[in-house]
Amino acid sequence: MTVEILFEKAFLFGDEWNANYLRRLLPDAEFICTDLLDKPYFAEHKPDLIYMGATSERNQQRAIAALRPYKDRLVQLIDEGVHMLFTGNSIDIFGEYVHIVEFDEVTTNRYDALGIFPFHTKLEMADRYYGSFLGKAQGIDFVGFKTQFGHMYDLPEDLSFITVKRGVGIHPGVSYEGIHKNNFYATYLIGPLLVLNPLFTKFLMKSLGQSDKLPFEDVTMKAYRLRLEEFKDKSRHIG
Amino acid sequence: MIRFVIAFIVCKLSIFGLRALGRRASHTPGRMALFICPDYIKYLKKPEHIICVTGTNGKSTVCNLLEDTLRKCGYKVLDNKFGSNTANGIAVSLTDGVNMFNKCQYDDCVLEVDELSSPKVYNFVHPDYVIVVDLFRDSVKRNAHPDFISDVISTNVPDDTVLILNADDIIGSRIRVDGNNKRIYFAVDPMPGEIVGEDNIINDASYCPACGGTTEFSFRRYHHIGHIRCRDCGLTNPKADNIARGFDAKEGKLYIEQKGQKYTYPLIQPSVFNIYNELAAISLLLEIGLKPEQIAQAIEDIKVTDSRYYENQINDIKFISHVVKGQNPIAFSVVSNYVKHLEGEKTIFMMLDDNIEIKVASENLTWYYEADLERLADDSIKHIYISGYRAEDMRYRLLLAGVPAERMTTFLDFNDVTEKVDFSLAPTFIMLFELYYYDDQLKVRAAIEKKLQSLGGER
Repeated sequence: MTVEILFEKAFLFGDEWNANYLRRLLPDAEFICTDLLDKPYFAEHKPDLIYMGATSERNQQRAIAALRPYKDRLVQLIDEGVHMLFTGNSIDIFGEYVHIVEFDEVTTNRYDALGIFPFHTKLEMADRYYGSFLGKAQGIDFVGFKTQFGHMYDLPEDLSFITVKRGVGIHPGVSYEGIHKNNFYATYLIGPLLVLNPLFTKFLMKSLGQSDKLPFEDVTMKAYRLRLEEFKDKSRHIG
Repeated sequence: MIRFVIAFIVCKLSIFGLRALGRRASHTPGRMALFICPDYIKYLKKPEHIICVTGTNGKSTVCNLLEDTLRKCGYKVLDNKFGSNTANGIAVSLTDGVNMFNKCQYDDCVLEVDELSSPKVYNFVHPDYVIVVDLFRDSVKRNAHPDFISDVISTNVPDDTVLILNADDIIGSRIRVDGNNKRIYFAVDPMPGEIVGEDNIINDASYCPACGGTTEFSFRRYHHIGHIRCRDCGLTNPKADNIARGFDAKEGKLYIEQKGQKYTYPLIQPSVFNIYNELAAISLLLEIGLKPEQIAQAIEDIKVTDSRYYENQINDIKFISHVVKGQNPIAFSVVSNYVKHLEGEKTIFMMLDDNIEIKVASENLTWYYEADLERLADDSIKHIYISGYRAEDMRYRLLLAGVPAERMTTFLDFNDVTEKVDFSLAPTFIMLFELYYYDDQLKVRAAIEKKLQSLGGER
């Protein structure tokens, strides 16, 4: 079992703990940490799982540059069903381009992303979105948080990952969130996603053919159920 | 101009009205004024010298030091203690500083400025000096990340503003690095007995802020604070003008080197965080022309008013109450580190829910996973009592951090603390409370103290 963590030193918003949690869940796996200047392990090998978390916008551009030479290989691995999880704004890497409206709300910029999925991202640096999220996918309730300067547009619904119950989808007014194709999962949700969503983590572990026993499972399940009640409580603000 | 006049009258009247009702009027009148006249702050008459203090941690302490010192030196100083540190609050404070004819009644103005309010403040206030104490990750809700905040401040500070910057902070020290501003740097040398080299989850300077290359530390104090070098472009910390070379906690002395000369100042607090704060304030005071002796004399009797820390020995239990700035992972890490290294065995009681958010939403937990809570797995911590809606989430985070399950108890209502806690477990009892729980913690503190007194010396 091999897990490749992409650009871990750049992670933000607690996504460091998605990687740490995977290490707890898969104690016998080999973890390969690929830095921004390294050749990715997946370029010549087939890892069982690839993970990347949220980064700054500057590091997102660096990540796109680092992955661009391996775009075709990523497409191949997605098609072959390699498990991949991308959280936070790392999802934007897979779109066609990123359009930025800088903080002064006048200067704009645009750079190409990998173009693996048909969408583009618009970043508005003076209008950061922050909110909570409740959704459902694979019969599992998802809870999480979002902090992002951008939203994605034009993604066909049939490629989406989570149906929105409360909160904002890929952009305001849309009732779906994230990307799912084969075993590729990507979502803007931070949290960290794997720690806050034990049922999804169990699903992912099973899908990888691993034990789905979580560390201190009774405690995390209790915490998850309490959180879920709050997220479902209509008297509480969300989104 | 007519908009300003209307906004000014509305602001003055609402400040007067709210205060007559016993309210602080810390930001609402400012919000109304800025709504009526978006460049309201620009038209308010201001003191001759404007000093702004910004950064993630330490702003309030630096402001308090500056205000107290300047007042002791005979200056009339306007501050925003009663206004919030956002543009709305600053509008209230500056309105407070003028009479009904918009005539300013102060010599100097010391403003604490929230980093994200930079565009609304600097463009209209035009500060003579800006101190950036440090730039870290803050609450995900309030803030994004230091890279972004650094850009926001850099974009909005005027070109002729003198910058007072922390040389040990490779991110904060690069504010307006391509500008023409005069730059004064301060730094704190490795201190005797200082515990360094412990790992942190957060390091926002893993990649060089100039070229994106890989960085390495020759000295790491905490997070990205220390002496850093980029392996690719060679970027390193700027050379400091004012350097804390050491301190004597017993004698209460801080030794600072300035332009090759050594000076001794009273030490306000022996923690390295507060040495940075004191040094930032001294650097500014020197820059505006005060003599080292004058500054030393003025700060001799100043105490950092610490509503954030309280200590009381009751019979054989030392009771400590310590704030944890809400959803701020760096503050939580620092407090966890402090608790770990505090001498002797201790028990901890946490009341850390966001008192405002918990009533209307479900609190963001990201900060639990960015803070170095692994420090709390130390064997000197005999038990951790966790209260609130997020107690089970905190219990899980602490289990992952290595705290044994049998060392934790959770309960919903923090008022139950006196029934839940076994005070006999350790000689030190530490209450960690979220900033917005300040008033509640005073009541809880009183209940704990009453309980401890009733126990006598039973431990």
